[in-house]
Amino acid sequence: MALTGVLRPGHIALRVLEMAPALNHYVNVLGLIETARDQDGKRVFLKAWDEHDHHSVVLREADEAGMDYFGWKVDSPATLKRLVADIESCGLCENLEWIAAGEHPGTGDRFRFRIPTGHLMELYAEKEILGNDCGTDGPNVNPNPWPDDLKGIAPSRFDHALLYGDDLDGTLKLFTEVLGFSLSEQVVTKDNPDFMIGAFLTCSNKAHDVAFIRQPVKAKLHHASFELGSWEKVLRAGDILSRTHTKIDIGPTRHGITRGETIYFFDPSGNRNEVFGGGYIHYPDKPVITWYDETLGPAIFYHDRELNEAFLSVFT
Amino acid sequence: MNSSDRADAHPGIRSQRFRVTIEACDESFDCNAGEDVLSAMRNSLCRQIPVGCCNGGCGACRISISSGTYTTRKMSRAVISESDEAARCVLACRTVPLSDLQVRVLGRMWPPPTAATTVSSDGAVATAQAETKAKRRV
Ligand code: FES
Ligand SMILES: [Fe+2]
Repeated sequence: MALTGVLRPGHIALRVLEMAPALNHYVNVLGLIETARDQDGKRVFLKAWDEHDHHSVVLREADEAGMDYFGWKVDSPATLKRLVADIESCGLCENLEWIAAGEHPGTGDRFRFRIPTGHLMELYAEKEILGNDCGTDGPNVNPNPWPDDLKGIAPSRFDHALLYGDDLDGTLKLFTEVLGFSLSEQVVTKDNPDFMIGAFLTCSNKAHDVAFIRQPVKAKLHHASFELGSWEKVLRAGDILSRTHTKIDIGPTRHGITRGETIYFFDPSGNRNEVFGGGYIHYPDKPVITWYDETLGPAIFYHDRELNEAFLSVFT
Repeated sequence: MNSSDRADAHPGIRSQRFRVTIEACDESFDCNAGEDVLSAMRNSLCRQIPVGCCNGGCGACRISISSGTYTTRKMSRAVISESDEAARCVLACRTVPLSDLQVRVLGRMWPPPTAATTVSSDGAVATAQAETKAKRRV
């Protein structure tokens, strides 16, 4: 197996101010599927239709918006053990702790740690498989290309997040030297190309699985992103967002970085979401793509060639 | 509670409109009963209050209310503290007027207004464009 170690983004836990409007947004507008909720209703677990694992999004009602943590699925319990030892010895992380199996429904032990940019990350190896409901003669047998009864925008998966934080260098070191990610694209200052402003990181064949932008804040979420198959679906997403009076931030447009076609919008608690299509296939031997700070405009929004005011200043 | 519930709680004001005035520049706009201040501004020609998430999470639309009465929906504690709230500092996107209002624009404390270069000493990324626009607003 060529793709080993950390496999993919497994879940993102988001704080929402009020659960009812949040669920309306994530289920009816975005089109995720609810798979479980806590008895007291404080947390709801959801997945996108083409994800086989039990959940990829956790919503928790809280007093402030933002991200609680981001979980990564690794290929085996042995890999989990090895990576935990590496995290413990690298000295880059704080607040290391184990979360017992079952604390998330259908999920094995999770190892949680705080990375240099302040975000909580988790690694886990096991999550119950619910399937994608495409099989016609049992799960994954003679499948249809997509299931019936999809709602709203209906992305296929939770794909990546863009996070804001201060110690970008520490986080980059952790992801590349300890967790086995590669840098697909970087934004640096032209005067001092060693000073990184943005790091786009992948653990797979995707152009990015997570990205960080240097900002003098800790543990902030810029957006959580979900995958659509095509530009036409991004346009359709824009139609659905307008029809449902969902606040669109920008788009549909294209990112220079990753070449994805995109639309940004806000959930009812002000957390930014993205749905996107396209992008390229990453291989570990692909040369790193570099963008200079003076070209940040087209790097982020390729058509407008300038950042909208909200890109740098609006986050949760 | 949504804004229509709130209008029901104040039956006399359903068809009323309130005037929201921005103190520093004397620009003002109408706000329908039950409508939040930021939506009302976006439906007018006024652009004085910064627009972010429109959903109470990001703090872009922070204002302080110098006079008038209002109610608020839940606001993220990361951007409005309890003492802010007690000092009548609120999010325009979560504030529904119950009378005419006089407001002062605070906005998010971010990006720092002094950031003149692309990357300031504390590592803040700011763009010339965002800077110019911020200035145009004042
Ligand atoms: S615009 Fe984000 S809190 Fe009001
Ligand atoms: Fe993205």
